[in-house]
Amino acid sequence: MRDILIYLLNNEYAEEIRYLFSGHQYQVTIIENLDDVLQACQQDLFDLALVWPASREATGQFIDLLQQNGFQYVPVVAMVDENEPLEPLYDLPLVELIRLPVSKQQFYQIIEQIVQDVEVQSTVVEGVNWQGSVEEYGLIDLIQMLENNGRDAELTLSYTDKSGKVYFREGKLINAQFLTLQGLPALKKMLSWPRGHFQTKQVELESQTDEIGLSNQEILMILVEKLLKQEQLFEGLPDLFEEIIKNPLTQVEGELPPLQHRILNYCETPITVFDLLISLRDSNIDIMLELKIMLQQSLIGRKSEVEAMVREAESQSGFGKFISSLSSMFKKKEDEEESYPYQYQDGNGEHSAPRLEVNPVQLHRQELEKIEQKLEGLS
Amino acid sequence: MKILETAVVAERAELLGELAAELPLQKERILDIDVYRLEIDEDLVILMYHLDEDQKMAPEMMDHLQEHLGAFLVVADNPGGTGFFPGAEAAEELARRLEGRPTVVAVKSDADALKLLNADIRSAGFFLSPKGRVMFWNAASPASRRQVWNTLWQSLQS
Repeated sequence: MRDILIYLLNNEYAEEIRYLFSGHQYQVTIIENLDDVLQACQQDLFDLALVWPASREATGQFIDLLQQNGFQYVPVVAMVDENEPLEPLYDLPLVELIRLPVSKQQFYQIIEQIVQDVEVQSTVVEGVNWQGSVEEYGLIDLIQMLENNGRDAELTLSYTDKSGKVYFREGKLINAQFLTLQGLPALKKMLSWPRGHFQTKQVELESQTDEIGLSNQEILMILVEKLLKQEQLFEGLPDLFEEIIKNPLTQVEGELPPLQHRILNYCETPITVFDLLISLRDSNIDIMLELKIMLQQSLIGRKSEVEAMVREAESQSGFGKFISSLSSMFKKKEDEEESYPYQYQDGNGEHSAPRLEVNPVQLHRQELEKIEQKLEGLS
Repeated sequence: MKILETAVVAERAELLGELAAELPLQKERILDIDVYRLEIDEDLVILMYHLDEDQKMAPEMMDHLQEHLGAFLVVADNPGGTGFFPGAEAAEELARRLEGRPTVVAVKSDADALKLLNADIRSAGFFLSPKGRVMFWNAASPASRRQVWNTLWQSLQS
């Protein structure tokens, strides 16, 4: 799980932050006072810090504080309001500038890319305990490296909120765990992670039995064979990190096979192929075969394609078109007011349109309670 | 007497009927538009202007709404679940343009999909805009329908 520190400078952004982080496995710490930043950095190892919304002065002070207190390793991202100029921030040591508002998808793509870039730079495979990115050392490399090491070790592979463990006794692979899977099936699920983090820890495993019962060479042969088969199956599927989604326009006819049903449940909201593979305990090969069938039947599709189809259907159905026309009517009125031809001059000599100000009706607590009681009574 | 004016857009007219099943609405006709009147008591009345794509909206009505509209309700259908629904993008654009006014998008969802939702999302919905929420409901769940209406009124609390 990623740890993110947010230096919140304006509380009005709190709900937007909650929305952007909802449904994702990030540990978010929000600090509103610069004085509390150091304490937070001492308690947690942050993967990333976001200044929200960023101004030149506040962001500079925040970075100075991190640098002066030995936390310069925390990458800092400036979340810049659409009305703030970007130029003043250019000379600060930031890893990224993100314009607000930002879509959830775009936000995650940027954040994940930054964290991965930082991880790749911090791979360490010397000494007793190792850590780093699986982009640099995959499971097959790590098995061989730990075999050469010849010690008892626990290898942890993690990606977002998912993690699995592989156990070595004197360099010999004896067990693995991932989700509820054990042994070889667990290893196979962790085989082809293109992203993620690894960590090894020296542990005592003398009492643990060998659950796999094969030599490291035999295990590697099985894994390599599996890897080749998976790579063949990837052809024709969306990229591992491309999002797929259920196609709401395709009606499911009859009962779906259980695995297809589970896949469809996960695809209610956009999910990458990789996230799907590591979320289901079924074998990757079975999942990929079913995915191919479901893509052919258009039960699911690439998010961009499904959304385009829905947009097309919307324009045909007219509902979306109707809402859009209402939107433009509201917008049009506002524009008309700005260019009102008969203008008065105010005290500053500026022209301004005469306008009728009507205060929007608001409800008081007592009135709201009356409505709620009425609804309660009716049901 | 306080009159609270809201606008309602429904993907299909029946959807509004289902969502408002228990509400004692009185139908009126103002400037060629169906208006539903909900009388809370002698001091508080809620008017819901049903904007229908089949009915041409008079410019006077548009002018009136520009000035008096308290909140906007969009009722959409998504039989497949609680994810992306037809009209979502347009509704998001509407909420953005009506940024000062509360907007609730009430998505009718399959009963099973509704049960799968996290309890917090069932009660508070999703963020749509600073004053907008996306709520999910089903005809068989009176609580979910009540939650949509309560969210709409709560957003108008001073």
